[in-house]
Amino acid sequence: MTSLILLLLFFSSSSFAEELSHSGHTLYVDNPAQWEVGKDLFGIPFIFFSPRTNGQRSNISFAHTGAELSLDVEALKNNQKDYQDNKKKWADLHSATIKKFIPYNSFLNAHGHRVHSIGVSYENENKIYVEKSFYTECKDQILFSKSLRIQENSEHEKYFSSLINSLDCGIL
Amino acid sequence: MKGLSLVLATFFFIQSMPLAVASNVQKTDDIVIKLQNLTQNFESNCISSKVHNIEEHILAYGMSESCWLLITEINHLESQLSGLHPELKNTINCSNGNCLNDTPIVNLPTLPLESLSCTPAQKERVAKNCPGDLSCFLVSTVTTLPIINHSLISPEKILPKGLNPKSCSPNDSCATQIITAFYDSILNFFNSSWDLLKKAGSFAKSKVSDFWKWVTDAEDSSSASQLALAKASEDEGFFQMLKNDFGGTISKIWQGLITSIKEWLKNDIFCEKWEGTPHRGKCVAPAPGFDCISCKSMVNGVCAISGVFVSEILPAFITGGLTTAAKHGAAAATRLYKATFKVSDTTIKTIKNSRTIKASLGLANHVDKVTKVGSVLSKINRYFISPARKVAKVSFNVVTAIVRNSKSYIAETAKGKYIVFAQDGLKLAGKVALYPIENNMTILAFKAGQRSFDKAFKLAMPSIANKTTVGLAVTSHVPQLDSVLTKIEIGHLRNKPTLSLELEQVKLLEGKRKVLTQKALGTNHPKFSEIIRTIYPELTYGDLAKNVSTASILAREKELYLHLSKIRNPELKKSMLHKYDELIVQSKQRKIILKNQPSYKEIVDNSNLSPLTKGARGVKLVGKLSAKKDIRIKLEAGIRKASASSWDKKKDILVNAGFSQTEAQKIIDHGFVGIKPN
Repeated sequence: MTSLILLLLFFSSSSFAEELSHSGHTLYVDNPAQWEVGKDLFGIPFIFFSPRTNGQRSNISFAHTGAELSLDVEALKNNQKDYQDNKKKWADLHSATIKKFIPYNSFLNAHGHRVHSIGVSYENENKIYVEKSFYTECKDQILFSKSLRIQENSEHEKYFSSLINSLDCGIL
Repeated sequence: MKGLSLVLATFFFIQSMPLAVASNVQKTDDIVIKLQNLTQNFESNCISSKVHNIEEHILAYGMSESCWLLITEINHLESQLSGLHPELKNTINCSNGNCLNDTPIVNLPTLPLESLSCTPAQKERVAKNCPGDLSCFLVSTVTTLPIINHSLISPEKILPKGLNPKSCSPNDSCATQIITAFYDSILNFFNSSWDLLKKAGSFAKSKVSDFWKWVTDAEDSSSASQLALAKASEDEGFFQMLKNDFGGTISKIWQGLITSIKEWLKNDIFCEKWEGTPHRGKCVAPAPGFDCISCKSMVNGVCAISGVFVSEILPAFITGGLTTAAKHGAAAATRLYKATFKVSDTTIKTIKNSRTIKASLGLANHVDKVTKVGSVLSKINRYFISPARKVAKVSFNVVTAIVRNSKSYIAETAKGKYIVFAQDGLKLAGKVALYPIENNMTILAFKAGQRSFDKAFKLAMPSIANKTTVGLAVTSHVPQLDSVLTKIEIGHLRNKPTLSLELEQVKLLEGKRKVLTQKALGTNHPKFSEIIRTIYPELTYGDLAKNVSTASILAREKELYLHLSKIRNPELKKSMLHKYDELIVQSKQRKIILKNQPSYKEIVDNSNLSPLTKGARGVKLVGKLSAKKDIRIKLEAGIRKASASSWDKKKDILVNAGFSQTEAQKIIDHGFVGIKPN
């Protein structure tokens, strides 16, 4: 019985998984809510779009960076000002105003892959956006994800987390 | 047909612009050159820029009409210039002539090159053709690119409806390079942004401390792209188009890029006038003509700066303008170039000086005009700060101010007309006719070609400046003479006939000469020439003497002589008689007019000779000195006898002595037998 339940759970979960292949790499991510997926938009291999909420769709991108390296949590934490400085420049260029920075964080996802996250909140054209970058170390490879939502769509944050939590990479 | 229309429109545009521009620039150039020449002429021939106090100088010396004409012409041309360039008005009207001290050079006026601007119809035509032109570039390159997903950017998705891919002409290698770079940036920028990170993989773990710096490109690119997508999702239709027809979106971005470059070149690189620092401040005079440059020409222009395009413009655009371009395309061109085209000063300079880009944009013909504009602007600037312009401008202002505020005259002299301001202090030599200026306001109303003194000013009746004591004595006794004498002087100054005026003068003098001569001789240091000019005009032996009887001339000579001989002051008498002998008796002109008629002085002198001398001179007068001795003795004795006899017997005595009737009369007329009483 227990085996049957586990089997059902396996199939049920895998039935929501998206297989995202690009540039010879394959990523897996569970998309139970079946957010729309855009491909190769602005060169970004995969972008998931939430349903339109509060007038806008939140989005989260997925890409295999092709880089093979391990990251140092302490170094990333200590140098997060570099990230912040760059965001300030970007904000200037895009007529955005930085509202706050979301501090560096590190955690393991459901597959045990270390995720390094960092983020920023900025205002652009009277809307406050919350952007989070996720660098996932998966089998010595770096996966990139970025979530973006307006402040009002905080409910999408949970889904972003679930997607990152489910992120896995194929075997080379 | 459409192509033909485009060709014809382009042809017309290119043909028509240079002529109109040339005319406009040339007009300004001509005016400035004239102004330079006129001010230099004024500085050389009228008032030197070294004169410290121009007002003092003008008050003392006045100003000749030729100089006045120069400064009024300068003023007139400056008015024309300000008509062409209204922004020059303050500069031209500034009173001290030193008008650019506090004006930065960047605020120099620009030329109104309206002719380079598009008509609304031309602009609309270019705008209408632009999407098709630009899409064709993309389509012509897309098939050659291995790097992209062809299904995303198929020709059908890129081209506007109704435009066949076959109608797109193949791109040349440069356009292909440009578009490849564009595709690469749009589609591959995100992927290629990981290159640094990939390289980092070969480093030791401990060295990955700069991770955040290595991912900046990817961060920037993804942030911009995802923000663009988030905004696009506000409009569901646009969002679906973007997601499902990214090729169409690329086309839109491409159009946004090219049109924003166009705006950038127009409003930044080739901006003709800046408020504040160039390329940093506000462009208040965008380069004209860009609205009529086709998008095809724009891509060719971008080709000319492909190096800068690939290395600076495109990356700046991708990071800064993607969001706006994806959503608004060409409609956001102005916003896009302002937000994204932040390139180095060196790049700006390189593009600005590139003749290739100007040629590629079809501006080649206009480049020279633009250069000419720059040259003319520089010329205007040089002109306004030149010392020659300053002295001319100050002189004009000083003269007009003095004319408004004090009594002024136009002085007519042998050297021409002058405007003068102090009759007493007039430093003009010779005879001068002064015309008081009655209506000073006419100076402000003068027009081109009507600036000579007599037209610029309303003049009152003239008078003679520097009047002598004789002149004053005569005109005070017979005031009507003043006007006539002045007119005669003016006639002399102008080398014009004065006979009618002199006849009028003679008429006015009738019966008054005696009194006038007495009054004249009674003044301090009377001048002989003034007495002749004012009271005895016949004795100048000019036209008047030719038109009056010999008897009347002789009568005037006698009359004058008698007056002079009665002068009590021996020195004055001597001096006056000396002048009489010099200017009347010895006058060559008199001898021509009066032939052998003796002057009264000669008559008197002859009558006062000794009897023997009278005889000998009388015989000599009639040419009988060579006669036989006995005959000559008889003739001389006859003169002595007639001299001592009464007037009714003199002639007979002379005839009986052997003179003919004519010879006898001549001897009598010359006073050898005495002076006939009146």
